[in-house]
Amino acid sequence: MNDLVYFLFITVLVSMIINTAIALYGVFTKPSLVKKFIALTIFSDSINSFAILIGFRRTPLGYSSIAVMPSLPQSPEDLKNFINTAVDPLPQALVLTAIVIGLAVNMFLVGLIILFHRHYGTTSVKRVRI
Amino acid sequence: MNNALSPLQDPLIGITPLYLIAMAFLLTALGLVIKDNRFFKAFAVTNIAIVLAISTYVLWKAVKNGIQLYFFGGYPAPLGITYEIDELNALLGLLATSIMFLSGIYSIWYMKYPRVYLYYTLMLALLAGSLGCLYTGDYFNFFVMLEVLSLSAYALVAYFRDSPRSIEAAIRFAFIGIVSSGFYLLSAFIAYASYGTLTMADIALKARHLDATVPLSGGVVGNIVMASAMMIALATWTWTFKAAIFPNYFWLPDAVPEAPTPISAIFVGVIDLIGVYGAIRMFYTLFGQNTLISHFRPYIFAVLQVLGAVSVILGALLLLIQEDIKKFIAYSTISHLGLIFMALSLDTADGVSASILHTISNSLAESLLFYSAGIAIVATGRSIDTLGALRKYRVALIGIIVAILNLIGLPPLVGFWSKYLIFKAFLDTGRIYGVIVLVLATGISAIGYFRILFNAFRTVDKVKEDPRLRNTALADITIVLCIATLIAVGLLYMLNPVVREFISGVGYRTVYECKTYYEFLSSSP
Repeated sequence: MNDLVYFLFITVLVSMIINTAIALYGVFTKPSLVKKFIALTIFSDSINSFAILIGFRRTPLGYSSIAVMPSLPQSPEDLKNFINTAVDPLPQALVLTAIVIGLAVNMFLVGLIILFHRHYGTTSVKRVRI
Repeated sequence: MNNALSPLQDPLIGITPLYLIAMAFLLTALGLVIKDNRFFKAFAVTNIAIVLAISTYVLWKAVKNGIQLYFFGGYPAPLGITYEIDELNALLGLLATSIMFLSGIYSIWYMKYPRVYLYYTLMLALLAGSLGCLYTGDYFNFFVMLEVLSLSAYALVAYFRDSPRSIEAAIRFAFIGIVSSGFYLLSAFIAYASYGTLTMADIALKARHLDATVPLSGGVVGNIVMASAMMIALATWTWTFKAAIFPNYFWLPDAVPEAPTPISAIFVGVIDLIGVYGAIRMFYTLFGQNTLISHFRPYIFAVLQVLGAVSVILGALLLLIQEDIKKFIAYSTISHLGLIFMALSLDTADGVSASILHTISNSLAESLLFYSAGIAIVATGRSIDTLGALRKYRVALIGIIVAILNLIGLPPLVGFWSKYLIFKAFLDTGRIYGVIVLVLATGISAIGYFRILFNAFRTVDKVKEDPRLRNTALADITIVLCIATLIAVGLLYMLNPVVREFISGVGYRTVYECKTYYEFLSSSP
């Protein structure tokens, strides 16, 4: 079981790195602004999934696999069980912040690309003469 | 720390960026109701003036009482977002707000375009972002503020949305900017994964004492040296992008000409400063001497030396062939920022204080160049050949002369002292190539600077009819204030030993006395 989890962890990590590399390649080489934009969203999503990966933790043996906050009143034993199985919540909070910021940036970029299309009649940077 | 505000805390520090953002949103909302442009101008300049007063007060307090702290929501340091100010932050914060204030006054004269309230909204957001970047003591909050700053900067480049060129410049700037911010985000995640904390002071403590324990934050995890090296490598991309150092310099000459002139001054004066500040904070406070990655630092400093030298020479050579005055100033900025990065990667206290002083000199002088040339741009356009329109505007002419003498480095002005400090720092560390680069670049760019001076005195026949040219009083006030600041800083530095000691003390304390930056962690109950 542990080997499988480890294998999946490594797979996700490697695929995230490959994803980032491919997305960067897309941002820098694709002539179409829309494709550049899609590559950019893939880039930021891979970075965000890396943060989710940080919060990952294996459930130790002997604990139930789902962390449930014990109901009140809590004994120290209940809290200890919870802390031993719960996932770190901070990376998720960070990712939420990053996604919200990314949303604003993406909306802005889409607006710019629409304006670009209105001016030049194309979204390809190669067909534009300056 | 939970029960009440400790005497260390100063709510003004934390409230300032939030106040600016609130005012920016309020301005947008008011824009739907009020149609008088004068109101927005007065509103924005008043708010920037308030923040200028606050940042002066913060500097005074940081010099008098040492490190200033503010914990958001009252959560103690490793838990919540901390705003932490030492002399370096406070000094650069005052510089950033003064340039924003000057640009605010200048905008009153310059902005005769529609959608003024949106312009001022973005400007207040830009100031909020840059102040947040400078004042924050939290690694992730820096990213948030960096995005506030960048997003308003992209939008300001695209302000003239009817011009295809400005849309194109904004797109190019935005794509590369988002990628570089993404790298910073990745480095923040790596910081959390390995150090288990995002507070800069906590990272600085754990980078020096691996087994240090801070209440409410765990120990380090995994291969900490590798993780720190990755953090530095990823974040350096962001610093060099913001500061327009060689491989990432191209956005500055692209974006600056298309933005409105006061915003161009902010680009060269404020946004570049964030990159310099981030680099100093990262290479000295977080991962300074005697940290666990001290064997890695010489390599990154060697890379920065090479990149800095390349951008010094490249900027100096490229400014010779420019026909566009705004592009000229952008390349001149790239050249000077290369010098700043060379000085700050010397790993000595003298180098850091030299780079801080040169940042002050460069930001003020390049902004002054923009303010003065702005009148000629309104009168005849952006070509260098028609700069002679300034002959009628004496104050702007004096502004250009002072700025160029400062950039070349003439003794009573601060530009001479900063170049002298850089020169001395190169000599003290035995880096002769640095001296050669400095002298060579000054010589090469002097040709370009004298070309500007020569053209500023030529007569020009065709002058556009623009209502702004009839009354340039506000632009003149900006230019006079900027000249006065430049001369005052230079004279103070020359005559007053307290100022000299302060500047070299900031460098010394940044490099050697990092302990004061994270001391408060252990003193908190």
